[in-house]
Amino acid sequence: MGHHNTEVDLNERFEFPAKLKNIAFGLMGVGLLAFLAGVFISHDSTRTLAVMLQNGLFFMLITLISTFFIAIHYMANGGYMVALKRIPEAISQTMPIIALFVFGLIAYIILGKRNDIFIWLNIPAIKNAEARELLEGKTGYLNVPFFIVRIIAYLTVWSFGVMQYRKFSLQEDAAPAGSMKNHINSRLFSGFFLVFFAVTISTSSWDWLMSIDAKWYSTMYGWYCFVSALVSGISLMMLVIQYLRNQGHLKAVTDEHVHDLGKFMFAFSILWTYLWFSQYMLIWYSNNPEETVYFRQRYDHYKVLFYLNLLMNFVTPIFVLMKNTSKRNSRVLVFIASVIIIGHWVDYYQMIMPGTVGNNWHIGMQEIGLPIFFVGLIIWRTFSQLEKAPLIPKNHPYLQESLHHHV
Amino acid sequence: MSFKESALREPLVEGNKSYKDVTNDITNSIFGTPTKGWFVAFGLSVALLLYGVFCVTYFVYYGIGTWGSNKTIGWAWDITNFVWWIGIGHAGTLISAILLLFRQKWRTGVNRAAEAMTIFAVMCAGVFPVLHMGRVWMGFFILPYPNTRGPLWPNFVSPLLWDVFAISTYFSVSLMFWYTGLIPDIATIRDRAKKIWQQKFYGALSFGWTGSAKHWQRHESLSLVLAGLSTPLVLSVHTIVSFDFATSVIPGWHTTIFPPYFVAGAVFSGFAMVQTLMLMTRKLLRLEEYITLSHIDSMNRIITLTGSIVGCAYLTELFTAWYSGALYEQYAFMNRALGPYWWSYWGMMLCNVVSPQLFWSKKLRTSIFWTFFLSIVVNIGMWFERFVIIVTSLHRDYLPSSWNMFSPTWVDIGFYLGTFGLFFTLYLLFAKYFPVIAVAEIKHVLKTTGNTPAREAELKAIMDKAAAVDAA
Repeated sequence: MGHHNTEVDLNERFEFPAKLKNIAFGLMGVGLLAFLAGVFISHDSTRTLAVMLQNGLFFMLITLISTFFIAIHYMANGGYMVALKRIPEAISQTMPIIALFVFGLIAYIILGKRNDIFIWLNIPAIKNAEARELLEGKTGYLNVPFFIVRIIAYLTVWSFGVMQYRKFSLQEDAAPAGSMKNHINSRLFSGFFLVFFAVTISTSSWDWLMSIDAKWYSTMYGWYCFVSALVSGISLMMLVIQYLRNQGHLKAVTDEHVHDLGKFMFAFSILWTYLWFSQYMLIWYSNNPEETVYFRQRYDHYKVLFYLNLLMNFVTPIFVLMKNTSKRNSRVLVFIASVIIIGHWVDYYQMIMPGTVGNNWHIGMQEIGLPIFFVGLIIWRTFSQLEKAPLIPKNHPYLQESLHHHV
Repeated sequence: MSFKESALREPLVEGNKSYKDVTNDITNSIFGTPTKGWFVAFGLSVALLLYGVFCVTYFVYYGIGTWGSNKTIGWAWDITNFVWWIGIGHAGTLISAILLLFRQKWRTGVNRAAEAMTIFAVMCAGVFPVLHMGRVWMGFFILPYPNTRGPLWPNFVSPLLWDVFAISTYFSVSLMFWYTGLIPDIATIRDRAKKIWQQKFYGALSFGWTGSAKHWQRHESLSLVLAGLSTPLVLSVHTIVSFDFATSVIPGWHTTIFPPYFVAGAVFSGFAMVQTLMLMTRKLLRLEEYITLSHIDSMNRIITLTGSIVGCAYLTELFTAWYSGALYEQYAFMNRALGPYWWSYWGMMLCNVVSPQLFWSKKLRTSIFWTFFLSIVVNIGMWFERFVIIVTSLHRDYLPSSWNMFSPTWVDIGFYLGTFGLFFTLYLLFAKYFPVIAVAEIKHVLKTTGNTPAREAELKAIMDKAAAVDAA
């Protein structure tokens, strides 16, 4: 089964085609214009900040997942993914750029005491005495200095990880064949990075997402947000791989590798659903008003998105990806990867909006414009990084396993 | 050119084995007389089992008032033990289904014994809720069938009923999976058997397996279907066990992270038990070349991973209890950590969160002594976890006048010891009369993962080159 890789060129390089570059700049330009037009028309700074927060966080996390993917494969000694390793490496390089955007945005929100985004920023302004008292009890965690220390820690260490893996990988290319130094260093670094990541991926979602609905809490929340980003991040890798393969590049990545990533998309979609269901069902079953309020608001006022979320992130992937052949079919995979990414974008939207813009939500120019800008940014950054190094990490010790990956 | 495993990976079968060696090494113990050690262990297990049977008979006769449970703590010892055993039963299915999907070849060395252990552990677990019913002869009332009891049906919205379905499904699928895998190996034993009773016994069990291509083809499709069915079961069983608690409104029980955290904890304790058993089995049956340090290393990594997931969940719970601002939630956790049962909470933290972190050290991860020691520590810790969740959440309820403490009676303890008797009796019988390692599956991976002088030379060449290059 599978084709043999006799034709694989270990020194294959990718050149960023002018056409694609234009598309990337075009998307960024159009997106930015649409966003600015939307901002200008709506005159609603709460909505604009919420949209920026949603898109900044979503696109930052899904590009960060690429680094998580690399780290976990080093940790687990994964061999099959070596041939496609340069793709997550390139995608992840966008993350530090978006991190700057997120940092600026959140600093603006925090220092501007925008309690329309994070209600806990201005507790005395809350009219309801009980709510005020409740939030005062949380100031040990939800306070400005500690919040800023945390965001700096998360973004710095994550960005450092993103760049460090890339550095090791490029050094490995430059090192003489047979060198193990960079491989061993990557593995050691993974231990540190993954422990930090495991803790902060939860705490950061409490900070940036759960604290929007500051009175509400759910222990599942962090893992839920993580898996949402995880499945979208892998789908993003899939899209880039499909583009490269359709352009005739990346011969080393066969249907077998693609099939494996497809299985991840399938499995993690189900995992996401499992977490969604567990969180929803337990809250519904216990019927405790402090908790049900979260879903009540979403079900009453965001009903379309409530169902769309499940339709795009559960029903569609499970039915389409269940068949073996669909996990090896380029068109189906491109379609389903797009559905998953848009679906989880919707998921992040319905996490953020009810607590900020409230029940009166719209999808307008800014909601559509900003993601288009970020898509353009990711295309530009990913492919210009891809151009900088050969497509195959030719000195990786497990390369031969990946080149002969059969199932 | 076919797939070639990197020589950097540690081989999974040591000693440059041929196919014939594999069969001989694994099946020989079946034909011999058991060792003295086996008889001693078996005798002890049966004695424990009989003592358990005595205790069960005693409390079925006198009623479960003989247990230590009381009006405030209506669930204690029995449910703690139930959840503990069920959790242990997770490793087998994880190894056979999930690790299969992740193509972890090392699973072939341990899957057979782990699956057997799963089945025995689920049996031990099932005993507790069934006997908690008191009048066990009415046990079939939990099955939803058209009945003569009028409109009296089991309560379909109760997670306890979901447990009945989840666990019985899990048990049947695990049993089928384990048995299907055994059939080719049983046929091998049948073909080598000299004694008539052995030929008859293994002949009947092998379902007329001839090893024809058609048989293998059907065997493989069935294995695939069962693996597909088992995969969701790994998650579903402990998820539903967690629902028993999390659907309630008891502070300390009602928390949304319970489902994935229970599953991680179950896998954690399951692997610890697999380690305990495998370390003994490989020594007693001289299978050190098949259950290698590399297998032990891999399982220890899973223990560290799942232990850390559980640790994250503990801290999330603790944090959220404070963050929630809910008074009773905060009290429940303060009471866990500083109340009269503080020792069980800190015991749990120490055994489940701190101790597996020692396995970051490769030296400890590949040390037989430390692995054995920590596998026991983890199992004690996971017992504490269930005790903490169940007893400390119940013993101080909303009405301080009904606050109470729990201590087990001799009947409780005897019942629990009895399940150890049952578990080890079954495991020892299995280890004596069936191949503890999947012979056919080991042969399947032998060519790519077995150690040979050529492989050793290749590894040495890679390491020498790396050393030379990196020194420069």
